Amino acid sequence: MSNTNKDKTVLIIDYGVGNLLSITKALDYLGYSYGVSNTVDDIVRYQSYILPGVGAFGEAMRNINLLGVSEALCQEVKIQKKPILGICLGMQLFAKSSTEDGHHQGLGLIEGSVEKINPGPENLKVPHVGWNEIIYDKKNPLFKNIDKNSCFYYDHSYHFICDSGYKIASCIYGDELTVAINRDNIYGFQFHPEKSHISGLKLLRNYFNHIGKLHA
Amino acid sequence: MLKKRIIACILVKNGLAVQSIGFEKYLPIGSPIIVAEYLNKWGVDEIVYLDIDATINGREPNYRQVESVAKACFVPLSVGGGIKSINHMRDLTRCGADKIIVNSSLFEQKNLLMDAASAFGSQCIVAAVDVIKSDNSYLIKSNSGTIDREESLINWVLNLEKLGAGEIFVNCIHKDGKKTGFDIEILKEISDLVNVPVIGCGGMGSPQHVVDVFSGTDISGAAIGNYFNFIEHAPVILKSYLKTNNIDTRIDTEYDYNDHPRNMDGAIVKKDASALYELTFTYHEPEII
Amino acid sequence: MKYCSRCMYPENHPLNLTFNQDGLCSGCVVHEEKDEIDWGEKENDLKSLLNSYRSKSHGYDCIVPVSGARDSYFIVDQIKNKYGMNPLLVSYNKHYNTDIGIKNLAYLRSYFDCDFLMQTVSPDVVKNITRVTLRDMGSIYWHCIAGQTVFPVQCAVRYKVPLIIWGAHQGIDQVGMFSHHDNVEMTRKYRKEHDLMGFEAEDIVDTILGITEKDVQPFVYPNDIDLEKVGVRGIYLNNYHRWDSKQQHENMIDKYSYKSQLQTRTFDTYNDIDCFHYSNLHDHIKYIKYGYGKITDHVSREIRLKRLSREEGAVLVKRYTNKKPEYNKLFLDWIGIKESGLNYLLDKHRNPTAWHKGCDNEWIINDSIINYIPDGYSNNKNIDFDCGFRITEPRMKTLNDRYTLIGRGYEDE
Repeated sequence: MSNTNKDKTVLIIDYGVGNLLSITKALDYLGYSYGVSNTVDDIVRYQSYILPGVGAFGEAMRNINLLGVSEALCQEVKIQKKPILGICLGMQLFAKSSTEDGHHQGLGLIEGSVEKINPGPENLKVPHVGWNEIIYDKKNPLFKNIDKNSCFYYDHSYHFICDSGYKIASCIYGDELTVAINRDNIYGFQFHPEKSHISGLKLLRNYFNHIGKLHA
Repeated sequence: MLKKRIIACILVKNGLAVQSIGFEKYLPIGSPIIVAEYLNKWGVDEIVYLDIDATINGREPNYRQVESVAKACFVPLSVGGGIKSINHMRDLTRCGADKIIVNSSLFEQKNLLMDAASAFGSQCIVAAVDVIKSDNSYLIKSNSGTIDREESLINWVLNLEKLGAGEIFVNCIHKDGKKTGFDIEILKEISDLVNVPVIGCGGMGSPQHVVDVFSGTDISGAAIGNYFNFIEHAPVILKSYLKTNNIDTRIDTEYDYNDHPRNMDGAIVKKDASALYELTFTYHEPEII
Repeated sequence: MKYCSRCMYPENHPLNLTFNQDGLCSGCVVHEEKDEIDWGEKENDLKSLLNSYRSKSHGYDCIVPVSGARDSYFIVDQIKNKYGMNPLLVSYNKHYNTDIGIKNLAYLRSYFDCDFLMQTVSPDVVKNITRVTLRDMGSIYWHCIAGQTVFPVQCAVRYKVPLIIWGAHQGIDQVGMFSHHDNVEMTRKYRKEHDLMGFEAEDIVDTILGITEKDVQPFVYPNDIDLEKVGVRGIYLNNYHRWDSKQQHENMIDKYSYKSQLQTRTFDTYNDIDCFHYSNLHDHIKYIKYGYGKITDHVSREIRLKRLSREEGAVLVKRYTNKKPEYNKLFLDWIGIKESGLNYLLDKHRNPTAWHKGCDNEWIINDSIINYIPDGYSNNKNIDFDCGFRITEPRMKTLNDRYTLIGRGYEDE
């Protein structure tokens, strides 16, 4: 566990949805210090962010808007170029819009939309729950020691659709779903690395090492 | 492709992890936290923590214990037992539960499931149903098998899906602790009926039973309770047996039992003499992430 | 405190108990299986399992952990003589060895004509470790249990002999943790939680008391990867044989001159006679920690086997529970602490749910099973009955009153 990450403190944004204990536990295990908050002051103060989330898009955006933090967050991310990692619903919130239970606007950090998973002719079960592999480019530093048979844990009914230029990993569930995205300092995982046992912890380690180098 | 899930059940009675036989006999195993620790080490895909006497004793969920169990899990944790309100669910989520399992409360509070799905998202809510086979028909029981319910199983399950359950967890009381295999008939019927993932529980006694249930039904996950306490590395031994039977699960341990011969039930038997003779040991650097 | 309606166990048993609607504890419930099981069928299962593990290359067929007591003679007799296996006997040296016990062990090797390995960890290391376990867990026996439960597993890996054959699974035997039908096998998890009170070897390392990682190596469980490579499995004979320790020992006394010895705090003269402190200081510590001693275990066992009534059991519990342990000085000299030091450490581990302090600052037990037995019976000092445990003539004229580290398998004429 590296001690040089002590000054790169991470803010876990608590906007009232999801279980934060899994993320804090993973960060504790990896030895990173972090804060948990939802105030504008803290958003400005911290150097990088994790946007977690489990739940409904509309409700999540409602909470974020009520807290009045979306502008500050977008400012710090787009202008100050602070790294942000969105997990599951958190990643979906980066989109411009979602069709979950109506039409909702997202944070617009990465052009794309969120649509329902298509059960397809095989009549697949929705939500997509359980462990699935990922298809990724081995040259990407985020995946450098991730075995090609590694599985990650998914639990979602909606998925992110965006330009292939932002897609860094996908998985097969009927269709090929985009499950990891990256644009400059913005990163997103549709699966839960904090719930994906050894593979997930390795990926998180790679992520922090990577942003440590690039965005110091 | 999405893997089949091997789910471990920790049944908790009075704060103690127990084995359950027929929802009547309970044998003491030990600390639920140590059970979770080893299940996690042995590479199970998900852990289900069920407080089986919270509802019948009118007790709230044991938040402190759930939090301790959550701290031992790096795989998803689903928590059930004694959950009667959105507040219970919220508090459990804050204690580390990734998914909430509701069962008995759904009979008295018709709106609870819908409200829960709305507040937390369907994917976070698992609706469980305890089923007993009686004279060739399947009946629903609730409150740890103490109350008979009038509702038809099929209608009830369809309703659970309609109200927003993300997954359905079917627990077969007549198979509980019997070690004679899952009830493939009812699990197939329910799994074919709904569009959400179905988890089957009750009856596992050997790895072959899990092969049978995944081959005979479309369930997404097999939930196993007592068996994982019986032998060393039980989940790993199970998963590698599934692999030889072309059932794909996630394998993430440094050891896998892939080259061990098996008997008819899937249990490991002795490696042959030449394999043992040629075996060499190497130094294992503990993996640091 | 709740007690079982049949045996003498209290609800605070360290292995945990559940009770059914009739107030019967899980240990008694599982014990009832013994009269329902087809033991012939179980024996066939065992034979089949043993056959599949027989070595095809004249090597050892299995590992059998042994000591100078605890049904070792019976187990070896079954495995070697009855089922024709070629076992490697392995033993962890407990250091607290009595003369009778060490001789039993020595003769075990010669009577059964088996190959034998013993692990004797350096006495200084063992003493240091025991100082830590006494301080942290109130246990003088940690090293014994840790060594006994790990040395056979290490041997199974080192010598590539996957099958280990144990006697009785304590969880089944005492509290019905598993049914006899589960065919439960040895797990590291059970060892950590129930044998070692949650402390494995790595947790004992203590820089202040000078216990290094190297010191605890003999107690470290083999790596999962190595266990898997060899395919190590530990089975329990009480899943395949109707276990009755008294009867088994008596057969061994008759057939192979197994020697028994009078014990301080129990009527059972067979089971734990190889250790000076098991039925003395170690049992006294159990009483401090749980409010009951080994006498309760033995009485419960005999009640379940229908050789004692509950009232008779209560008489015995009353008679033996408060017996003062002997040979404490032997232990104190060995470990190098004073009696006051020992008492101080033990009081730290006294269970507040089982004890309270009286007006004169003396410790008083909160409750006891004796309180629930009709007064007339247990107070009647005239009641005396023989539980039928035999005391055999020792092989030697004088018994050593100090620990014997290693013993010979013969007596000088």
